[in-house]
Amino acid sequence: MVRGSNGGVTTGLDGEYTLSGLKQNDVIVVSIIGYASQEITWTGQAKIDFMLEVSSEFLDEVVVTALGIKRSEKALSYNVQQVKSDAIMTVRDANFISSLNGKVAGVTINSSNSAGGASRVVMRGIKSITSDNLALYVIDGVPMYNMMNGGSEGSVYSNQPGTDGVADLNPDDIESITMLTGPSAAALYGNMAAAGVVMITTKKGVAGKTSVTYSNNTTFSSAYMMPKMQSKYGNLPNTLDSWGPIVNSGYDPSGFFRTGVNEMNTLSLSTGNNKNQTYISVATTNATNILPNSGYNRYNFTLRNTTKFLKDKMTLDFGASYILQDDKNMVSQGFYYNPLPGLYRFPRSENFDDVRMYERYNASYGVMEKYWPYGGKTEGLDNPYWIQNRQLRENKKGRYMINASLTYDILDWLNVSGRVKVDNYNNRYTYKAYASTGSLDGGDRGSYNDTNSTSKNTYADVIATIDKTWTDFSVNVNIGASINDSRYETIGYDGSSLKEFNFFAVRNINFNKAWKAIQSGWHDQTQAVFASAELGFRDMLYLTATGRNDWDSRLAFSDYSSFFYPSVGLSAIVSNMFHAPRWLSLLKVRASYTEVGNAYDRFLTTVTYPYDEQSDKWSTSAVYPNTKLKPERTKSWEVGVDANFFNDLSLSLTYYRSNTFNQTFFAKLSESSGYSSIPVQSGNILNEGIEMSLGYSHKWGDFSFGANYTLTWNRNEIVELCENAENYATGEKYTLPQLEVCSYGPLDSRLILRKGGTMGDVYGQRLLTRDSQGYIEVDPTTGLSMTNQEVFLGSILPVANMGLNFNFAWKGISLGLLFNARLGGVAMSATQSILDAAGVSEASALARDNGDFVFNGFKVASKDYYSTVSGTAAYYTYDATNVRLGEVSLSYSLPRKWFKDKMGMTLGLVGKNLCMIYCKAPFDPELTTAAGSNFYQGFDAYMLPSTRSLGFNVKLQF
Amino acid sequence: MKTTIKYIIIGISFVLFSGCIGRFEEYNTNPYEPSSVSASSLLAEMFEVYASPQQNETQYNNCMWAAYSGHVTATGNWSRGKDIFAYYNSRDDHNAATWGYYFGHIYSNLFRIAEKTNREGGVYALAQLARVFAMCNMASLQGPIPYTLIKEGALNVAYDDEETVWLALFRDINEIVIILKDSPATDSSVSDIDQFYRGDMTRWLKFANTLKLRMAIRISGVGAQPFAHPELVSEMFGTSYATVEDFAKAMAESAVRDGVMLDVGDSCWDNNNSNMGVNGYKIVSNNWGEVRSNASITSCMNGYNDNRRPKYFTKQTFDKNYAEEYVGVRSGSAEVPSPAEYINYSTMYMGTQDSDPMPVMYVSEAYFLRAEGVLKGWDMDGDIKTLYEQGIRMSFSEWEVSGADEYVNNDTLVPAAYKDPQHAGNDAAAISSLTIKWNDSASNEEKLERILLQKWIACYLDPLNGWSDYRRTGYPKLLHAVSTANSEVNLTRGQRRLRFPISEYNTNGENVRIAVTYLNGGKDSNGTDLWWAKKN
Repeated sequence: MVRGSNGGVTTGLDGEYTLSGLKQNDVIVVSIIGYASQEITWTGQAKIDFMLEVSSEFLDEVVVTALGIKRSEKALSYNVQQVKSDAIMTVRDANFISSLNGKVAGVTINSSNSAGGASRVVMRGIKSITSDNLALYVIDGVPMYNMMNGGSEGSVYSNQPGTDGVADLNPDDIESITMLTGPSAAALYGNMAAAGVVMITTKKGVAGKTSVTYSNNTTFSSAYMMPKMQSKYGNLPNTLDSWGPIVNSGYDPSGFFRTGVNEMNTLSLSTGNNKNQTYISVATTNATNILPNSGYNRYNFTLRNTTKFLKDKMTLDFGASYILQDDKNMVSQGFYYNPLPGLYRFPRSENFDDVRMYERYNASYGVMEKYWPYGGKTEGLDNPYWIQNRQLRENKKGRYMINASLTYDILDWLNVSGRVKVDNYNNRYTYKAYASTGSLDGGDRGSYNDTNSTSKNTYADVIATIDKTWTDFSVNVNIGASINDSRYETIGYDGSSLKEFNFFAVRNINFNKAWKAIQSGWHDQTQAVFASAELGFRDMLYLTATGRNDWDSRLAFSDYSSFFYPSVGLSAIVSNMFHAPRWLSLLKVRASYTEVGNAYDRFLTTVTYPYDEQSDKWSTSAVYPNTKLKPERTKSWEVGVDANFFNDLSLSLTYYRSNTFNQTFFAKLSESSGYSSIPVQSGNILNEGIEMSLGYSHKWGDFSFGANYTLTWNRNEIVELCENAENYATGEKYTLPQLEVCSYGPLDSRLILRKGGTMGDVYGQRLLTRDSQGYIEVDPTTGLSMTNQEVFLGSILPVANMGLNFNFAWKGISLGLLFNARLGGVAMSATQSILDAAGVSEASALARDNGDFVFNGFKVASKDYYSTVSGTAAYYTYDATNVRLGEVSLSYSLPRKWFKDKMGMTLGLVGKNLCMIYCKAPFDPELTTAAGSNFYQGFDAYMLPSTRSLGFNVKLQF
Repeated sequence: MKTTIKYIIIGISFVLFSGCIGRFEEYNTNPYEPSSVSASSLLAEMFEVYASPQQNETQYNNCMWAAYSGHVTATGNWSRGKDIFAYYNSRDDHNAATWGYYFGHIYSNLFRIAEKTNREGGVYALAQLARVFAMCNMASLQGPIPYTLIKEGALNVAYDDEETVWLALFRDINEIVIILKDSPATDSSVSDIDQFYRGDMTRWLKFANTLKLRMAIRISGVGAQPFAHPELVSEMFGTSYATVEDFAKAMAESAVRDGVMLDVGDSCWDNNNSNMGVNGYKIVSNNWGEVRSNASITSCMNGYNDNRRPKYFTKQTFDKNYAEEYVGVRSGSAEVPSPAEYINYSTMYMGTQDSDPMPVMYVSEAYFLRAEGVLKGWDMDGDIKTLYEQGIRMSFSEWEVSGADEYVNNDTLVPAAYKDPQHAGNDAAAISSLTIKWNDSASNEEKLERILLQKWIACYLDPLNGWSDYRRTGYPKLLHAVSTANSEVNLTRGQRRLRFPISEYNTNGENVRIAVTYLNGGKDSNGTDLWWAKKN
C-alpha cells in the first residue's frame, strides 16, 4: 500500500504486484503476516523488489476467535490452532473435515468409509455420557446446526448412515479453519460448544484485484484392507458354510468392488475495490463409491459481497449459498442394506456368476424375481447386486444459507455489529425395494418409504465492541446478546406392502397391510447474553474474562431455567518482558479456567406417551420423568506455552484437565418398577491430556523445507459414575455400580462404564473352558465348551494420536507427506468371527491346511473350534494401534511467464491412505460407521473396506 | 457516549427478550406425542402380552425358548454358534427379552390405569387379568419374581419366593372373577379395543376361570406338601389348607363351578395381529425364515395321521417324492442350525397367512385340564373319558377339521419316529408308543400321558403350556437337544427355567441375590428346577 492512502493491493501467488498512479516520493509500505513491514520511497522505478525480514513479533497474528471476534494471538490465554485452506485443499475428500486428520493437536477425527459420509470430530476426549461429544461447527462466527445423519445408536441391524450438515460446504470457499479445542476458547458459544469448536472462515472478495480460479480435483479410490478370505474349501450341498471339500473355486470377492471416482470442479471469481468486494463460486462434486450403484453428488453456489459506506464507517457483509446434494446407497456397516454379508459369505462351491444376473423372470407373477438360492437372509446374506440395484436408498437435499452482518464504527474505539443467518434445508429420503426383496409367495410386491425432513435454523446476534489502547494499557470489551432458533420436522410414509408391483408412490402403499406413518419434530431455542473483556499491559500481559448466560428451551419446566458460564485467563509474553536472546523469538505462557454447561435432551422434563409403531398404539412412557435436572457442567483448566526459536522452530504445548459433572444419563431401572429408566444426574468424568504441535520451517535459497508434528494424548477416567444421585420422586439416594451403554452385534462384548474405568472399556462375557491346570479343556464326547466369565478386553479410546507432516519445495515444485499414527486402544471384528465360523476366512483355510487344532492332546476340528468361539469377543479383539502414510502430494506451479503472465497454473498428484505401515486389526480401526455415537466405535461388522485413493488436480488462475 | 452504550444495551435486551422465553414450555413439549392417553388405550397396550403378536416379541416369546414346547424350532443361530436357547445356553439379550417385555408392558400401563379408573370397572379388571396372565407366565419361566411388593414409585422391588407369588396370583384372580361376575354382559368401554372378545365380559369370565384352573393344575405339581407360609394362606384366603395339592384342588373346583370355557366361541384369539394386521409368525417364519415346525410334533402327528396337520403345518418343499409331507426340525440339532439349511422344512401354516389370528387360549385346554383334575380325584363336573374326547373334538372343530370320531376311536396308530432327511444326526425314536383311544383300564400314569399328549397337540402354539407340562409331568416326552453347551443343564431333562437377566443384577442386585436363595439349590441357572416342575 501507499502510505497515507486508503486500501492497497494484494500480491499474487508469487509475490508480484502492480501499483498505479504513484507520485514521486510516495512511500510504498509492504507488509505480510509474519514478517516485518518494510517501507521504500518511490522515486520513479519501474520495478522495486522487497526482501522482508521475518518479524520478531511473529506471533502478532490476528486470529478469529469465538463469535468471529478477531484477536491478537498473543493475547489468547488458551490454545487455538489455525489451519490454512491448503490443509484441506491439497488432498481432498468429499467431506473436507476428514482431510484435517493428523493436522491439529487435541482433535481426533474418524472418517466415514463412504464418500461424503459424516465424520466424527472429538476434541480433548469424550466428556459426556449422553451427548454426542461432537465439536460445534461455526461458519464466519455463526454456529451451524449440524444435522447429523451419520448414524448414532449403533446396531448391526440399523439402516445405513449418511452424511451431515458440514459435509455440504465447498472446501474451495474456505479461507481458513480455526480449531478451538478447549472450553475456554469456546466459552462464548455457551452450551453448544461444550465439546469444542471448528471455526470456519470463508473467502471474501479481495480489493484491488480480480481473479478467476478454476480447479479440478479427480481422485480414484479402491478397496483396501478387505478381510482375508479363502476359496480353497467349498460348501457341502444345501449348506451355506464352506466347511466342505477342496474345490479351489478361485472366488474373489474383491471383484465386486469397482474403482470409485471423485471429481470436484470449482470455478470462482473474486473481485473488488476499496468499497466493495465480491466473491462468487460454483462447485460440483461427483463421487462414486467402490460399491456399484452408490455415490454422492453435490453442487454448491456461493455469493458473498462486502460493502463499505457512510464514509467507510459502516460495513455490510452479505452472503448466500445454495447447495444441492444427493446420495444413493451409501453403505457403512451392518447386516442389512449391505451387500457385503452375501459377498463375503458366498458359499465357495457355488458359482458367483449365477448371482451377477441378479434377477430372473417369474412367469407366474409376471415380474422379475431376485436370484439368491442360498438363504441366510436374517444374517444379512442376500444377492449383493440386488441390494445395490433393487433396494435403492436415496437422499435428495436442497439447502440454502443466507447471512448478513452490519458493522457500524461509531467511534474509532467503539463499534456495534449485528448479524443474522438463516440456514434451511429440505431432505427427501426414499427407499424403494423391488418385489421379491422379501418373497413373492409371501405377498411381497415391493416396499416404499418416502420421508421428508425440514430443518430451519435462524441465528442472530448483536455485539458492541470497545477497543482502546493507551501507552501501557489496552482494553477490549465485547458485550452482546444472541438468539439461536432451530426447528426440525419430519413426516413420511413407510409402506412395506404395495398394491401394484414395483410402483413406488404413496398411494400405491397397501394401507390394509403393514405400513407406518412417520412424524416427529422439535423446536429448540437458546437466548443468551454474553460479555468478554481483555486487559492488556505493554504487549506482555493479558488478562481475559468472559461470561455468558444461556436460557435454553430444553430446560423448560425444570427448576433450573438458565445457566451461566464464566472463564478467566492470563497470557504472558515472557520474551517481551526482558531483552530476550536472539534465538528466542517468542516465549508465551498462558493459563485459563472455564466452566461450560451443556443442556440435556429436549422433552426430558415432561411426560408424553410415545408412539409404538409396531403395535400402532400410544405406549406408556417408560422413562421416569425428572424435573430436577441440572445442566451438565464441565470445569476445566489448561496451561500452555508457545515458543519460537530462531524464527524456524515453533512449539505449542498445552496441558488440560477437565471434569464433567451432572451427567444426565438414563439409569436402567428394574422392569418391576414399571419404568425402564430414569434420568439421573451424577458423575464426574475426567479428561486430561496434552496437545502439542512442533513445527520447523526453513528456506535455503529456492529450497524450503517444513515439518510439523502434532500429538494428542488424552486420558479418560470415570472418577465417579453414579453415587448417591437423588431420585427426587422418592427422595432415595440412588447408586449405580455400573452402566452398560453399548453392545456389539453378534459379539458378546459390552461397553460398561464403571468407576475407575474409562468411557471406552469393553468387556467380553466368556472364554473357552479351561481345566484346573489352565489348559483348554476338551471333553472327549462334547468337545470344547465355553465358560461364562467376564473378561476385560481394553478400551476403544486411543491413548494418543499423532500426525507428522513434511513439506519440501523447490522453485514451483512442492512435495508433501503426512503420516498418521494412533496409539493404544482396541478394536473388535465381528466380521472376522463370522467369516471364521462360516469357513470362508483365510484363517479357517490355514487351520484346515495345518491339520486342525490340538488342545491338551485332543484334536479339535477347525469347524468345531471356530463355531465354538464364534461371537466370543475375547478372541476377536485387536490392538487398534496403527501407523499409515496418510497423504502424499506433489505439485508444480508452472511459471507465470510461460503464459505471458496471463494465468497461473498448478498441477498436482495426490494420494490418500496409500500405505498402512502397521496395523494388527483386520480392518481400518480409524473408520467410523456411527459418527454420532460415543461408544459404537472401533467395531467392524461387515464394514465397508477402507479405501486407498490416488488422483490429480489442476488449478488455473487468471 | 455512555448514553449510546446504554441505548445499545437496552436495544439488545429489548430485541431479544420481548417475552420470548415464555414460549419455551411450548417448545419443550413434544408436539407429536399426547400428554394424556385414555385408560382403554393403555389397556390395549397391555393386551400385547397375550399373544406377543409383534414380530420381535413373537420371536422372543413364541419361537426361541418356546422351542422347549416341541411345537416350534428356531432355526437361526444369529452368528452365536451354540450360545442359543436350542443348546440351553442363550445369551443374556435373548434370555432377558421376555422379562423386559412382560414387565415393561404390564406395570407402566397398570399404574396409569389404576390412577385413571380409580381401580374400578371393566378396564381395570381386564388390566389386572392381563397382569395375572403375564406374571403367571413369568413365574413359570423364572420362579421367584417381584410381585406382591410392586408399587408405583418403588424402584428396587424385592422378589417373592415362588409360593408367595402363586398364592398372590390366586388371590388376585379370585378378585378379578368377582368383578367380572358383576360386570355387564358387554362392556362398551372396552369393546372397541378388545380384539379378543369385543367386550364380551361373560367370555372374559370363562377365560379367567380357565386360567385359574390352569394355574391350579400347574401348582399341583408341588404335590401333597405343606405350605412354607401357612399364615399367608389364611391371611389371603381366610381358610387353611393342609397341603399345596389341597389348595390346588379347591382353586380348580371353584374355577369349574364358576364356569370355564365350554365351546369353540370361548377360545381366546388375538384377532388384531399387531403391526397393522400381519401376524408375527408370518414375519419370523416367512420373511426371516427363522422358525420351523418342531420335529416332536410333526413326527407325532404323522404317526397319528392327524387331520389337523394341514391347518398346523406347511408341507415340506425339499422333495416331492419324500415319504413324509410334514417334516419338522429338531431343536438343538447335531449341527448348529442356520435358517438356510431348514428353509424347505415344514413351518407353521399360520406363518404363511398375513391375517390369521394368533392363539392365546383354547377351549380344548379347559377339557384336558378337567380330565387331568378328575384323574387327581377332583370334582371337575364330568367323567374323564368324555372330557378327554371333548378336548380332542373341540380342537378338531376349532380348526374346522373333520374325522374327529375316527380319531378318538383309533386304537392302532402311534407316534412315528423322527427321521431328518438331510441331517442323520438329528434322527430320534418316537416320543410315545401310546394310541389315541381312551383306555379306562390303563394305569394312571398311562392315562396322564395320554391326556397330556393330546392336550399338547391341541394347544398348538401355546408354547409355555407345553413346556410347563413337560417340566411338571415329564409328558409328552419331547425330543431334547442333541448336545448342550451349558454344563448346568442335564441334556435329557432339558432347560428348566430362564435364569435372571443380567440387568436385574445390575439394577436390582441386592434383591435378585436374595431371590436366588429361594431357588432350588440356591443356584440361578437354566438347569434349576422350579417349585412345581420337578419331573423329568
